[in-house]
Parts: sequence; C-alpha cells; structure tokens
Amino acid sequence: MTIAGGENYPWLELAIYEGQYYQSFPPVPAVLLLPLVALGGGAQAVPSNLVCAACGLLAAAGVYGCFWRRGAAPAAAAYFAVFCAAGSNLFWLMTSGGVWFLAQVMGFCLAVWGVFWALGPCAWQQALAALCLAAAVGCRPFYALPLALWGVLLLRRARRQGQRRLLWALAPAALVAAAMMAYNYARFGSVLEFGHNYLPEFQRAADGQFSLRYLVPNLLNLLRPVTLDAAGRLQFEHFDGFCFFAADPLFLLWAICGLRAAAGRKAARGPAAPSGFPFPARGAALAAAFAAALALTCMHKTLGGWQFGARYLVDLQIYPLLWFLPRGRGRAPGAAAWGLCGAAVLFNLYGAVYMLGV
Amino acid sequence: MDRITARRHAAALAAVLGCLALALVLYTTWPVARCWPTTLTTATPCRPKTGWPGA
Repeated sequence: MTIAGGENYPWLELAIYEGQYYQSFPPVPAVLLLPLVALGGGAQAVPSNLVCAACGLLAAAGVYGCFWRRGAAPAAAAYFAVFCAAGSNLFWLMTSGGVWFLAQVMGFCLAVWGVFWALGPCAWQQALAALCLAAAVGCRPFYALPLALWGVLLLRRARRQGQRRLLWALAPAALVAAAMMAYNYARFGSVLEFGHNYLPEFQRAADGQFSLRYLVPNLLNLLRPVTLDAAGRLQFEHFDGFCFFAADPLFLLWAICGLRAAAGRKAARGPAAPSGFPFPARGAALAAAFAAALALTCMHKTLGGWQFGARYLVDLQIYPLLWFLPRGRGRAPGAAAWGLCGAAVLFNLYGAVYMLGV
Repeated sequence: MDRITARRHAAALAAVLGCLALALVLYTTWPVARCWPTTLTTATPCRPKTGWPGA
C-alpha cells in the first residue's frame, strides 16, 4: 500500500506518513480501473481519457434515465442530460483522465446511477442504488450526504415495509464502507483518513486541510465575476474557481425555479414532495443540504486549483437534480430554459477549448 | 409506457449521447491527441504541445 521511491513522483500528490509514500485519493476510481490495468498489462496502457469520457457519457445517460423513470417527457429528460453533461464544468472534466477529474466524473456518474436505481421499485434495485452511492463516496467523500439522505428515508420506509428490504438495500453500502474503512485504517490508523491530510501542502498549512478560516475567502472565490476586456475577450480567474452559476447555470435555474415555487406561483401544479420519491424533495430540505455541502466544500483549503469554472461544484449538481426530478413529470422546458442551457453549453465548450491554450 | 413514447425516448437519448460523444471526439482527436492516453502513473493534465487558439 506504500509507493516505493515515492519521492521521485512529486506531481502525483503523494501523502507522506511516517516516512512512507501513499496514493492520497479515495480508492474507488483506481479499483474500477484495475481490470483495464490487467487487460493492458500495466497502468501505462490504461486509456484514462477514454475512460473519463465514457464515464461522462454514462453520467449523461444516467441523468436521462432518472427523468425517464420519473415520467418526464423526452425533451425534459434530454434537457437535463445535456445541461448536466455539456452545460456544466463536467464537460471540461470529461476531456482529461487525470486522477483529479476522473474521480469527479466517476463520482457524479455513480451518484446519478445511484439515484436511478433508488427510483426503482425492487429490493435488488435498492441494493444497486446503495452500491453506486457508496462507490460515489469512494470517489468524492461529500457524496456521503446524499447517501445519508437516502438512507434516512429508507429507514423510515422500512418501518412500514419490514426490515428485509432495508437489509437488502443497505448491505452493499455497508460492505463498501467497511472495505474503505479497513483500507484507511491499514494505511493511516484512522477509518476516515484517505490520506489527503498527509499531503505536504496540507501538512505545511497552518490551518490544515479543512478549516472555518477558509470558508469566507472560498465563498468569495466562487462569486468572482466573468468580465469582458476592452478587446471584447472574456476574462476570468484560472485558479480556485470563479462565479459558479456562470460555469454551472443549473444552479441558477434551480434558484429561479425554486424561488418561483416558494413564492407560490406553482402551488397548483401538485405536491412538492410526492410519495414514493426516495430522497427529500422539499426545496428547503434540498437547499439546506446544498448549503451544508457548499460550506464543507468551501472549508477545504483549495477549490480545485487550476481550472475552468468551479469544478468542485460539479459534485453538488446532484441537489438541483433531486429538486427537478419529482417536478418534471410530463413537462417540457420552455424557450428561456433552453436558451439558458444553450448559453451554458457554449460557455463550457469555449472554456474547454480555451484551457488548451492556458 | 407505449411504444411511441419509448421510441421518442430512445431517439432523444441517442441524440444526446451522439452529440456529446461527437463533441468529445472532435475535442480529443484534434489538439490533445498528441498526449493520448494519460495513465494512472503519469497523470499530469493532458496538454497539447502548442496551445489553441493562436499558437
């Protein structure tokens, strides 16, 4: 579990613990790539960019599938699939198979497929949901929050439907969690430590990897504007993110629709939290979960370093999706919504090409 | 779900994935192709030898 000669690979962001070098990222992406390593005869043969792009396509299919399962019209399901995959920072992440991006793309892909299976009626589909959501946590640990939200509602439902379904559903998540905790404990003596705390950059930081001191500066980073210079060129920050609802306008759409719903204009269109939906569907609950996840993200020392947009916010796209899912039945997006999606796609395509030359 | 709706869903999903795949293929086979594939052990950001646009 240690990496021999780790001092020779400074670009790999290796954790240093008790004089040994360790891979410091959550393990699920590496585990999922092991068959490809075996097939290719070594890690050098793994086409990481191709894998990352395939995971992005799979994520788009998962988003489409979620809306299809909820009875959305084809146009609405396609709208959200396009918005999440091409109209957000996910598109740029899909184009490069480095460990930072692969973990985010795989995490989002597993999370949306977790939601897809959670929408199913059978115990085995609930088990698949648990497996996908737990594996998403093994890519990006903050997916623990949607997993917990689903688990709490499942526990409540289990009181009415018996324990067997609950055991089926939670067993895979418990197994994945136990495996990851054992892996962490064997390496760092802590079940919660993936290794990032032992990265030199966080060891050197006076406030460590997570601190309340980072919260406000990072929140302000996520509000830095995109401007036009005198020559008409877009100007934006390349380090630690910029205005997140410019790069990921799904959040903007969520805010607009959520505020309109809260104002009561759409009260006549049905209940906000339909029975059978396996996640919290109330706007306030999802907004609170999003705010908690955003605060945790901003308490991290960095916001992802060199990037286009605000890539850590891709992990939070699951919250607007959970808000739109129970509300999209049979309705197609209007012209304004398509316009916002189109602008988002163009901006993210531009960003992906722009970053080639930075 | 009736057959017509199922066909519409299949067509919409195929269109979404097809366009996305085309965008990714165009993006990755043009300037980035020179550093394809990155690997787990040398996972530096895949960058072209010359930038675009303008280089």
